[in-house]
Amino acid sequence: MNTDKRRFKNSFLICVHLRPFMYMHEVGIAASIIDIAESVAQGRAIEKIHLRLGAFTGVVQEALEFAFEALQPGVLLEIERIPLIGACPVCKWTGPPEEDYCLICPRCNSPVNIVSGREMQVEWIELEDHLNGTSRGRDQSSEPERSVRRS
Amino acid sequence: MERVAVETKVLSQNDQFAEANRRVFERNGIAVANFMSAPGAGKTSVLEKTLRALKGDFQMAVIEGDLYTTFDADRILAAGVRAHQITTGTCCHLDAKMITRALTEFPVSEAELLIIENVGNLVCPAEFDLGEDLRIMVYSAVEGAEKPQKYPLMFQTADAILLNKIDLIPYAGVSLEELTANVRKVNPSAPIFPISCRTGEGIDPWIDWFRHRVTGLRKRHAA
Repeated sequence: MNTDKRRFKNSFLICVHLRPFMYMHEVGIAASIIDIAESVAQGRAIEKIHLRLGAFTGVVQEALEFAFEALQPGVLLEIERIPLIGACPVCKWTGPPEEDYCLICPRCNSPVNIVSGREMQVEWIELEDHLNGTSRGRDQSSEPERSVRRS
Repeated sequence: MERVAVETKVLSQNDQFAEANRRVFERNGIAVANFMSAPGAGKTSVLEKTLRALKGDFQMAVIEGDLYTTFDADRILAAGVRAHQITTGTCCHLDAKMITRALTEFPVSEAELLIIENVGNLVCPAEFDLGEDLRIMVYSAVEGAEKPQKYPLMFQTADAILLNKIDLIPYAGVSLEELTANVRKVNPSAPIFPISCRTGEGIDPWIDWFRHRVTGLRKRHAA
């Protein structure tokens, strides 16, 4: 309902106040992350969003965090960085590039395939419980488990 | 607190539009190339040369992406090819939905080759699939030799890299070998074409390669 309007206003304010970063696409990416989370949350309050973000994406982490905070204050964006890993189809070498983003096999000079580092995925979200009391209730229910383990 | 698995790609909505675009292009037998570069690398000049050279080979259309102006579309029209301008306003790249929308205003079903000129930017456009068959990157010799290492994604995803403005190499303090070697590190397999739109040097091998690829793609779409 008003969420769209508020988000539009916030994006607009970000653009006006930060002219040097006006064209940063991280604002759009942050909005997509929120849309994905909200479609899963179905009206329940979101506490945390866990994002897998590869090192070989066109996203600046700081810009994304900034845009996210401006669009959705109060929700925690947890970013899991995934390193760039290559694998050589010829000599079977695998590992991170020895030089920044170099995709030539350090052992046999063949082009390597990207195994990881291109991820940009909302992995899971944490939602507030339906009722205020529920969360306390769950803590209590986990208590006996702990005591079982102790004994 | 309850943890709920989502496992959804952030750009999944863009990818869905890109797939829809791709189906339209394939159904109509259209080969599509997405041209990307930094601002001022010479995309529009490359297009002018390319369109003039391929006029006799294919029915062509061009979609131009620009922040505010229509200068580029005007240059394409002057080269005698139909052009449609998308002004993206504050958006630094074209996304697949913009192309879907453009196709409703700008019918391309009669085209055999559709060229999309992306917004001049070395970062964002590389993340957004538009439904294209080929990604062509224009990298000018005067941008500095370290650009492939600073902005690796666009170089890595390109199917061909045009190294433009080689006539300026003597003034740029770089060598062709250094530029080529740096591109090779992030993209070991794509062909690199050193060209100069100003002098015409190197244009022919690029045109031959592009014509060959477009012909192959059209045959594949028709099959």
